Amino acid sequence: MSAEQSAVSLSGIAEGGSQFLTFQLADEQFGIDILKVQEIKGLAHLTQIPNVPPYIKGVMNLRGTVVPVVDLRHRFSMPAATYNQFTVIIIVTVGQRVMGLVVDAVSDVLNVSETDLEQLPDLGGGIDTSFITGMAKSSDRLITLLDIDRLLGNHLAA
Amino acid sequence: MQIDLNRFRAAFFEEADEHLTNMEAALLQLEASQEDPEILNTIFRAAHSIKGASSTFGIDQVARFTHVLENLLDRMRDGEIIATTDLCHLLLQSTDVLSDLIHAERQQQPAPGSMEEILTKLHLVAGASTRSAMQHSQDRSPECQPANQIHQFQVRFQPSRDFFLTGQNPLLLINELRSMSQAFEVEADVSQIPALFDLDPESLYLAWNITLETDRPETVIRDVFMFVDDGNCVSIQRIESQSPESAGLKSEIVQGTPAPMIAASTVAENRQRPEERRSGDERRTSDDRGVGRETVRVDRERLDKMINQIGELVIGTSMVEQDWSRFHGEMESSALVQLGKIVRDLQEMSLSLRMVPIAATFQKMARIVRDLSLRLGKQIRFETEGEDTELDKTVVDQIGDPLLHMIRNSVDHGIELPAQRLAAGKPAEGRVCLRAYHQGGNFIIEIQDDGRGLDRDRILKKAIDRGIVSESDNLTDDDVYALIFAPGFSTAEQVTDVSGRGVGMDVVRRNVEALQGSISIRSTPGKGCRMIVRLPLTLAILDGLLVRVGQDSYVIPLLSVVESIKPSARDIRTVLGRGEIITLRGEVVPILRVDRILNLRSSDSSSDENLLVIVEDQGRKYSLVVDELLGQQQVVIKNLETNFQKVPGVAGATILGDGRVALILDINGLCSLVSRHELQACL
Repeated sequence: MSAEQSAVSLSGIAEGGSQFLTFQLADEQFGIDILKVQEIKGLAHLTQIPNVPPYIKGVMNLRGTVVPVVDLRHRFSMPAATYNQFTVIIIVTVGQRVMGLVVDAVSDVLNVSETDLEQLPDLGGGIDTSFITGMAKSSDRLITLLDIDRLLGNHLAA
Repeated sequence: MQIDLNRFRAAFFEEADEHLTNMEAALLQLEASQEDPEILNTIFRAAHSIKGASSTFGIDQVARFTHVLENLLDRMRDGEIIATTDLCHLLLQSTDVLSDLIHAERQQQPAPGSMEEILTKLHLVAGASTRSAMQHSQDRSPECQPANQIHQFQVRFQPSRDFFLTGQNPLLLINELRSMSQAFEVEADVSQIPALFDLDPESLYLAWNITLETDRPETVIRDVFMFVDDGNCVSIQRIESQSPESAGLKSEIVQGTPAPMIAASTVAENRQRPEERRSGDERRTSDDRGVGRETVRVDRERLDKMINQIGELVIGTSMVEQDWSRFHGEMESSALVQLGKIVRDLQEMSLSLRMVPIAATFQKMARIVRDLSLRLGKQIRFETEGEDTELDKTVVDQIGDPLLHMIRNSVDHGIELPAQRLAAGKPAEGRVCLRAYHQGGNFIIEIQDDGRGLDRDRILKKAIDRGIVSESDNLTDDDVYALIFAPGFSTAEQVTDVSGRGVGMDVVRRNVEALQGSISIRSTPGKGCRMIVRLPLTLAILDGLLVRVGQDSYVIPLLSVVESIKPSARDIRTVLGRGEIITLRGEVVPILRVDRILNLRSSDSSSDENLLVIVEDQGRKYSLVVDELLGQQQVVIKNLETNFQKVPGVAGATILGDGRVALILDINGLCSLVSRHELQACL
């Protein structure tokens, strides 16, 4: 499977640290473990699914597999954006499931070592941070690293 | 060479299951008609196969159990023990124990305790009849070797070079011989071993000369080699008296070719046991026929993947066809037409791969009926029709449980006790018939009994007691019969361990509906009851009506579509300001607005332009409001659970010719989504 292939080819470099795929949502930078990423697709037609949380934009056809797509802006209660030519869908594997994430744009792949990683400061009550692994500093950027299993796994558990 | 034993183990378990099924089927036959040696042979072969394989895999308990079983069966085959009903019952119980043992082994769990009890019984039967056989031995023909007389045999066992490659172990065979002998001597013939340089470590160069004394007949010895003897590697010679001649004989065998020896023994056997020979020949011919239908075991996941991919190929092809017609208009491409045809043939073929006959499931039911009728003291003749009708493997696997419940119900509640039957002027023997056939793209299973039929009044009374319906409801017979499928409903006066817990029929209906099937009941009081289960031939493909609602396309299963109409606005009436209804040829049908039920965003439907699709679910009609009818087509079903979760009102998804995903509506789920309250207002 392509997921495993990319996992194998990319994990070879990741000695001592981890690699994260970074992407943009509004003016914030996020990162997800690259081993979870299967591929990156342009925006495809999404078919609505009834009676599901609004951040699930619908399902798409990924070469014959029906894949649910989550709008991460919506998921994080950020203002909605109109989809344009930079809008991409990151296909990730969460456990046995394949899902798509709509993001504004994909930036790059970032090497994060232990020393670059910082614990998330306490943001005060009311903000759910259970799906955030920590913050990573890279030159002048500050990137929020997401735990994709926690973010998507518990909400969509069958 | 590293061999992955686990792979073979999985194959062993599957084969063992098959052998057990065959054994059970043959035992049931044996019980019905005892005088067919081929039936006994079938049972024996199955037991022997399980024994051989289980000892290869070191599953000692199974091997030990089958060994005892095999001994008993062998005596039966030789006519020393007569197959009585009790014995058949014991043998059937043995297959249960075996099945339990094998399943326990498969799950790596401790073996169930029932084994020792049955084993003791088997020992008892085998032992007791040995004595009786001894008494009879004098007047028995040479057809059967007297059990108490000890003979000396000379066995030359020279397996072929590639013996190991067939997964055999000569030591097991020799040990088996040793276990049945009073005196045993084995000598390995090492003369064929080549120089070390030429030696192939995976070939067998040895042969054995075995001298043994046993009270067992020659056929038993021959049976040891049943699976290795391809005609020229075993010779068995009986030595009449223990004379010094035997030594000479031995050397002769070692030097000479074994071929003439077999010829002699075959002739001897022919003369001794003509019947046995004949059945052996029959077996061979049936095996020959088997060669023509060779099968390959394939992992189901792989098969499903392939079928899925072929489904994609079909979609891909139709996408190419659409592109072509976009660029070239009406001009036809003969290559494309050809491709399309091949792809569709391929799809049809791929779907037939999953089809298996229902026979095995029916077979299990025969056993259930037999056991139940014995326990309940009822006389029941069980008949099956159309066992060879083919059905999707997934459906076959899942229909077993519901079928079991329905059969139990028929036997327990339907068929009366013999005395009651006679009093009602019916033959004492009841009849339960299981029938399978194809009808209009559906697979139908009927369970028919000639029992007392359903009691309309009692069902109604019970349903009212349970609050399932109210007294004022005006129900037709069919409505009343359908009540037995309601949750928590059971009319059995006493809860038996057979049926009557009130979960059975409820679960039956849910299981059948999960398979996109339906159940209906026809019943005549005093004459019997007929339950008809209607199932789709395959779960992979659905005939659907493609409709547009809002911006998306949806598929309505064609099975539930009655008609589609374009009503004028004044046909639609609002009840209590909430629900909408339409009167259709005098029938009031509630209107369900799909876009509202599904909470679709950005729907812009205006009610005067709408079309209504009338659908039926469990005898009730509903009309669905759609914006456009796009046509009728077969769709490949993909489930949403694989990557997502179950969505109420949606049975699954499919990928259309343009590559978009369309949801398949689940009419039943859709109706449950509309609150009961709202529906009531409509009615």
